[in-house]
Amino acid sequence: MKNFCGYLGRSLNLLLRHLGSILSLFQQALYWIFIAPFRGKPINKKHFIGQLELIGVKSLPIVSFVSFFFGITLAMLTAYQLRIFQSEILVGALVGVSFSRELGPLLTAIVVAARVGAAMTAELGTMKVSEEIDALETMAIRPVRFLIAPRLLAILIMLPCLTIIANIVGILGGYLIAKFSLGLDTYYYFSQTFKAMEAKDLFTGLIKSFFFAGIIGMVGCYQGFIARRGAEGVGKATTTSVVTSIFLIIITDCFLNALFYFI
Amino acid sequence: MIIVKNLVKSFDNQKVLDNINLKIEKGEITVIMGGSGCGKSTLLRHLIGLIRPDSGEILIAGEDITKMDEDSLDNLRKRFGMLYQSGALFNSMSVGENVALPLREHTKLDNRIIEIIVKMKLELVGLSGFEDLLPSQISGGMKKRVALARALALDPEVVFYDEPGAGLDPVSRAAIDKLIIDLSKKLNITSIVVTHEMKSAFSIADKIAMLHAGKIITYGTASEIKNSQNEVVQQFISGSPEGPLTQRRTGKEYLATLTGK
Repeated sequence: MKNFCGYLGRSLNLLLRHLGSILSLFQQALYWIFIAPFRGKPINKKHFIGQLELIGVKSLPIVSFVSFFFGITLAMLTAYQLRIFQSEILVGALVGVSFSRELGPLLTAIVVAARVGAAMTAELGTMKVSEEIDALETMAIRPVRFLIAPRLLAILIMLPCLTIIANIVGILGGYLIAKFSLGLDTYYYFSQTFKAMEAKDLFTGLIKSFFFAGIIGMVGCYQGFIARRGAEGVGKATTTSVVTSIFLIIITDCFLNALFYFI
Repeated sequence: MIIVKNLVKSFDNQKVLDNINLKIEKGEITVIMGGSGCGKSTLLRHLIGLIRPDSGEILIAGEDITKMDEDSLDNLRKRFGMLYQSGALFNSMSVGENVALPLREHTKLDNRIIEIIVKMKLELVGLSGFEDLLPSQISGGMKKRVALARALALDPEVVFYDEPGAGLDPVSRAAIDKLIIDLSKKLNITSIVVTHEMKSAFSIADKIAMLHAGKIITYGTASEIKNSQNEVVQQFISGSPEGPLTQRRTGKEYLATLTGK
């Protein structure tokens, strides 16, 4: 029992310390993104554009792929249930609302956490263990400005964009089933979809994706920055980064849902 | 130029640096020598302000860097250059971009001028014409020379070298040593070199400080060190496997470690 309490205490202590460091890093990153540029210290444009491409453009195929097939699966699943009540026409509404409110942001975030979050940790972790981050510091170049700020800003912009695309592609996936398997009329399907979807669904979904972007970016960069002990350490940090990101995304999602729709 | 006073640093209750006092003169090459794990890299990291000590002072050009905030430290660091053991080049950038980075970040020079400076710095280390290669495409010795060119980009007053010869063949090592001497003599750069290569140490050093178990046990010119009566110093110079550095534990102590009693 005593051992267990000790373990619990130490873990809690460690968790809070990590949380503290990550928040302080976040605060610094926000300073370099939103305040420093107006004091004549802008973010490196070339790096920022590179990150936009890496995070946004290069994630597009996998995000579209996942949402498309998830849209198809969701339509098949709900059609099967709705058939009992003879209301297959509601498939469009269901897919549209589920995607814009929940599945679009969540699927995109998880795919991006696995793709981009992992890459961030691996890259920054490798830089850390090969003294590149120390080298930046001795060149009087702040690592937070040079490495974290462009990544965080890029993901904050790109994740919501990817989410919108995921919503569209998911709805198209659902439409394919409605059209070719259920034989619904195209106009009717989309008019049902848009009738059911409210602006609030879309906005709350996008707000969520901002939060998810912050989580993926900060966890990814932080884990890279604290990586230690060579290749093994970087591997471990990468795993921790993805697991922590997904964990935090799910928790935040649940919390935000409660906030938006139940309180 | 650099004065270290009563510097103490512990990690996990173990004293890594124990009351270090050191004075580094302007324009001289000071070698900090010592076995692996004696605290020499830690000392170097203190000198460039990457680590803050538990107590003690480090005065650089009259200012105590241990109490500086990040902004003033950044201003000071622009006058430093640092050559890391692995080179620490940015792998995603070409050789030329690596050397240009400090110039792009800290000056408002025109791109064409930066390109010329980059060429000059690479020429200085004998690598002109390599601008467009990536660090992964050049050898270890070349990487170090590029890193040196990068360290020199802002015309520093002080250059720190962390194991400049480690992992290099004898010829490349001698070439790096010669560069260190040339830079010091021609540009009057103050150099602090951390190394355990005796041959390099004696060929480049104006002053040598020997670090052992977190303390400076000898300090002096190369010939003073050679004639030192200290047994640790003598064993280190001769590279002998027998001596105070490698003293075995006595039978009793060994038994105690094994049985835990």
